[in-house]
Amino acid sequence: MIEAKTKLWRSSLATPSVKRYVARVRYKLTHGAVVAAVIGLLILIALAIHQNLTSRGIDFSFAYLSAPSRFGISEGLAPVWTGWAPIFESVDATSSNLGMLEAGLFNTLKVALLAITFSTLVGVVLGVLRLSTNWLVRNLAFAIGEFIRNTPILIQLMFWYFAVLLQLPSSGSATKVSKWLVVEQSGVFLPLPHLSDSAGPASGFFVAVAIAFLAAACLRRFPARWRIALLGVGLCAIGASYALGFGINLDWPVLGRFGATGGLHFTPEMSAILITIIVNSAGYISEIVRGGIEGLAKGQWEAAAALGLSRGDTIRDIVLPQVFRIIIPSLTNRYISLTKDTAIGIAIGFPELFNVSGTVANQSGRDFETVIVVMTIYLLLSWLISALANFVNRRIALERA
Amino acid sequence: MIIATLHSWARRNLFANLIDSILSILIVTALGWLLTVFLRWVIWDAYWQRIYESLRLFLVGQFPEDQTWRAWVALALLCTAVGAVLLPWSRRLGVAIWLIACGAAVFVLVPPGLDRWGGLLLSIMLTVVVSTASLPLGILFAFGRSSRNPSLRACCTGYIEVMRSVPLILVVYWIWITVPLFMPEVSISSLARGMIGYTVFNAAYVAEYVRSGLQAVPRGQREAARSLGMSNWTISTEIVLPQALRVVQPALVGNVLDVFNGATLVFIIGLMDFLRAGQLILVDPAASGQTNEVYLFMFAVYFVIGSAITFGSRRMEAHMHRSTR
Amino acid sequence: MMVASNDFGTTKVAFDKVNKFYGPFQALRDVTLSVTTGEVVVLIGASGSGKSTLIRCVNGLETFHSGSLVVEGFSMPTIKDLEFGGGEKALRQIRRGVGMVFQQFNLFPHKTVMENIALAPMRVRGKSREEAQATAMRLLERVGLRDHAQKYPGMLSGGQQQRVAIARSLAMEPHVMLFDEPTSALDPELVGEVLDVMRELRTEGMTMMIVTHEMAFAREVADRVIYMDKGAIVEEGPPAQIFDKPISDRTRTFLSRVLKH
Repeated sequence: MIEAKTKLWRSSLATPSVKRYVARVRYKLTHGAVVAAVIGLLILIALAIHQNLTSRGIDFSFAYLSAPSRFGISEGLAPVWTGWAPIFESVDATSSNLGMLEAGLFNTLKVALLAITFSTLVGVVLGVLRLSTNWLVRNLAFAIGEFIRNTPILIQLMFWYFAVLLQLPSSGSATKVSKWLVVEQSGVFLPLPHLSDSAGPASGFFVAVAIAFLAAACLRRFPARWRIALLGVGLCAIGASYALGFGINLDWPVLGRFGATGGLHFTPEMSAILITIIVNSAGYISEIVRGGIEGLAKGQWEAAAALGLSRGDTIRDIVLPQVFRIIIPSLTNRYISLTKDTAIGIAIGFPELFNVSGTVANQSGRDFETVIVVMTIYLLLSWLISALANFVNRRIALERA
Repeated sequence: MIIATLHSWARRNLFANLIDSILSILIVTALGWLLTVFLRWVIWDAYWQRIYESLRLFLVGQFPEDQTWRAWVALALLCTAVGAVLLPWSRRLGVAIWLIACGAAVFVLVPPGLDRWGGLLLSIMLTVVVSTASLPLGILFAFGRSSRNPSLRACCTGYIEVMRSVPLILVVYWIWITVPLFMPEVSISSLARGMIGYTVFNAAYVAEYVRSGLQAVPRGQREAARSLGMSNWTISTEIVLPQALRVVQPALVGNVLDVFNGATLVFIIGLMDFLRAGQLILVDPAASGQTNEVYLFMFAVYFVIGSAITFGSRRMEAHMHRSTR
Repeated sequence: MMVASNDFGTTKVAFDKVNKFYGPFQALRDVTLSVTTGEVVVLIGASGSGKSTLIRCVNGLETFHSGSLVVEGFSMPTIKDLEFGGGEKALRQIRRGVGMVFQQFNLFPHKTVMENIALAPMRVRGKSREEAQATAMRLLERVGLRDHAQKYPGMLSGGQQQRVAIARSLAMEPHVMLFDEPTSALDPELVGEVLDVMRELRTEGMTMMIVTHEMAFAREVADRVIYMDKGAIVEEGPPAQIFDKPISDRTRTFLSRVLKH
C-alpha cells in the first residue's frame, strides 16, 4: 500500500532525467554567462584603450623592448647569453630596454634574496627575545617590533636614506668603523671574498667534490657511520684543493683621498633599501616566530623541562624546529611582501625593477606595455616563492611521515 | 609592602640569574644614556620652530587657507563616525552613521577641489575612503571565491591572487595611467584615480580576511539554517556573514593600519600626503639642518596613529575571545 | 495516546533501497523504511552505524547515490540531480516541512533567542515581524523559556539552548521532526528537561525520527525502534520486541553492551 502511494506521488513529479537535463543546461549557461561577461569586460576595456592609443598614433606592440634604451642606471647587471651560460654585464645607454628591465630585476632579486636571509635571522632572534625571562629584554624586543610595524615602511626608508646614510661624513673623511666595515656617504664597504689567482680548474673540481660530500654528510637519511665517512672524504677533498692552490682571499676596502675603494661596495641607495627591508621584515617575522612559539603545545615545554633541558636548549632543539614547520606559510607570505616592498626603491632612486620600468616607460612612451611586462614579472616572482615554499613544506611533511 | 613587592618583582623579572642580571644592568645603562642624549637634544638642541611654522603644510597641504573650516568640519564628522562604530550600539546604526558621516566629510571637503587635498588630511581621507570602499568589494570577492560556481570562483581567485602578487605602488600607478586611456573624454583627478587603484588593490586583501572568517563559521550553522529552509541568500547575509565579520573584525581593523601606512605610496602619482609634505619641507635649503626634527615629528605622528589602531584591533580581539567563551 | 501502525495514516517519509558512500566507505546500505503520520521512530546503534546519516538524508543535509527517498510527496534529489545545481527548489520545499534538532544545538550565536526563532518564519514563510514574534513567544512559553527571549544563546545552559533549538524548528510548523542525538552534548542533569519537551511533542501527534542513546527514553516514547549496524537496518519492531526479545544476535550484543551501565 505504501509502495503504491509512493509511486503515485512520484508520477506526479516531472521525470528526474528531464529535470536533470534542464539543470545541466542552466548550469552551463550560467557559467558561460559569467565567463563571457568577464572576458567581454576585459575586451571592452582593451578596445577602448587601444582606440585611444591609436588615436594618438601609438600602436600596441612590444617591439620597443629590443630598441636601445638611451638612458643609464647607477647599478645593476643584465645577463648576456654567449654560449651555454649567461655572463652578467653592466648596462648602459646602448643596452636594449629589455636589458634595462633585466638589470632592474637583477637589483630587485639581489635586495630580496639578501633581505630574506638576514631578516629571517634577525627576526628569529628578535622573536625569541620576546619570550626572554628578562622583563627588559622582552619588552625592548616588543617595543622595537611594535615601532616597526606601526609606522609606514616608506618613512623608514626615507629615514635610513636621508637622515642616516646621506648625513654620514662625505667621501674622503670616511668613518672607518673597523677594518671590516667602512661607512661613508658614498655607501657601505665590506671585505669581499674572492678566489686566489692560483686556483685552477683542478682545484675547482675538488672544491665541487668537497661541497657535494659535505652536503651529503648533512643529510639525516644516511646512517651515522656513512655520514662520518662522507665527512672524511669531503675534508680530504678540501685538503686536496688547498694543496692545488685553491684559496679564498679577502679584498679589503681601502680608504683613499676620494673615498673608499675596493671590497664589496653597497651604494647608499642599495644600503638604505636593504637595511630598511631587513629591519622592517624582521619586525614582522619576530611576531610570526613569537606567535608560532606560543602556539606550540604547552606539553612540549613541559616535556622538555621534565627531561631537565635548560630553557635555551629547549628553544633551540625542541621548540624552533617545530615552530619552523608551523610558520612556513606565514613566512612565505612575508617573503612575498618583502619582494614586493622592494618597489619602494623608486622613492630614493634605487634602480630596482619598478623604478627602471618607469624610466623605460617614460623614455619609450610605452606605459601600458611596460606595466604589463612588469606586472607579469612580479606575478611570476610571487608564484616562484610560493612554489618554493610549497616544495619545502612538502619535503618537511614527508620527512615527518 | 610596596617595596617588598617591587623587590620580588625585580628579582623575578630582572635578576633571575647571572646572565639576566648582567643584561639588565647593561640595558638600563645603555637606555639611560640614550635617553639622556635624546632628551637633551629634544629639549635644548632641536629647532622645533620649523615644524611649528610648517604645521599647516603637514596637516592640510595646499588646502586653501580661507577654507580651513572645511577641514575642521570633516575632522568632527570623522570623529563622529569613529565614535559611532566604537560605541556598543546596534551595529546597523553604527555602520549607517559611519557611512553618512564619512560621506558628509568627503562632501564637505570636495568644493576646493580634490587636487588641493594634502598632508595628514589627504592620508586620513584616503584611508577612510579606501577602507570603507574595499569592505563591500572584498566581501563580494570572498563569496565569489568560496562559491560553488566554478567559473565565478576561478575569476575571483584569479583577481585576488594577481592583486596580492604585485606591489601596491604598481597597481596605483597602473590604474592612474590606464583610467585616462580608458575614458579620455572625462578628466578624473589624480586623487580619485589613486583611490580607485588603492581600493582595487586592497579589496583583494580584505577578501582574503573575510574568506578566512567565512571558513571559521562552524558547519553546523549553515546546516541549521538550511534545515530551516532558508535560501542561500538568507543564509549568507543573515547567518554566515555576520559571524564571519565578527571573527575577522580585528584583522580588518589591522588592515586599516596597512591602508594608512600604504597611503604614503601615493607620492608615485604626484599626491602630497603627510610624508611627502615633510619631504618638501626638507627640500627647502633653509630647513636642511632640521632633518632630524622633521623625521622625529613624522615618526611620532605615524607611530601614535598606528599604535592607536593596533590598540583598537588588539582590544577587539581580546574582547572577542572573552565573549566567545 | 496514539497507536501508530503501518496500516493507517499516510506515509510521511519513504526510503527505498537508499545507498550512500563516502569514498569507498558505504554509509547506507539498501535502506528501506517508511514512517507514517504521527509515528515516533527511534534509531539506535553504535556510533558510525549510519543512523545520523539516515535522518540527515530526510531533510537533504546528506545526499545519497542510489535508491529513492520521498518526503511528504516530494522526491528527494540525488547527488546526480544536485550536481549541476538542480533540485535546490525541491530541497527547500522539503525542508520547510521537516524540522531538525542537532546534537550541538547550532543556535545562531549572534542573534537573540527571539531572533533565532522568528528569523526563519519571516524570511522563509514571509510572515510579518509581529506574527513571527507572537508565535515565537508562544513556543518559548511552551518550552518554559518565556523570560529568556532577549538573551543570547551563549548566556543559556545547554538544556535551555536545546529547548530553544526545538522551539526554533517548531516555529516553521513542520510536519516531521528529526532529532539527531539531542541530549548527547548535555550534562546528565539537563537531559530531562529536553526529553520532557519531546514527550509533549509526541502526545500532540508529531511525526518524529529520533537518534538517541537514551534507551529508557526510546522504550518509553517509540512506536517503533530501528537497530542499525554498518549502514544497514538490522532489525525493527515495537520497543517491547527489540528490547526484550531481539531476534538478531547483533542487536542482542549491542543492547547488552549499552544497557549494562
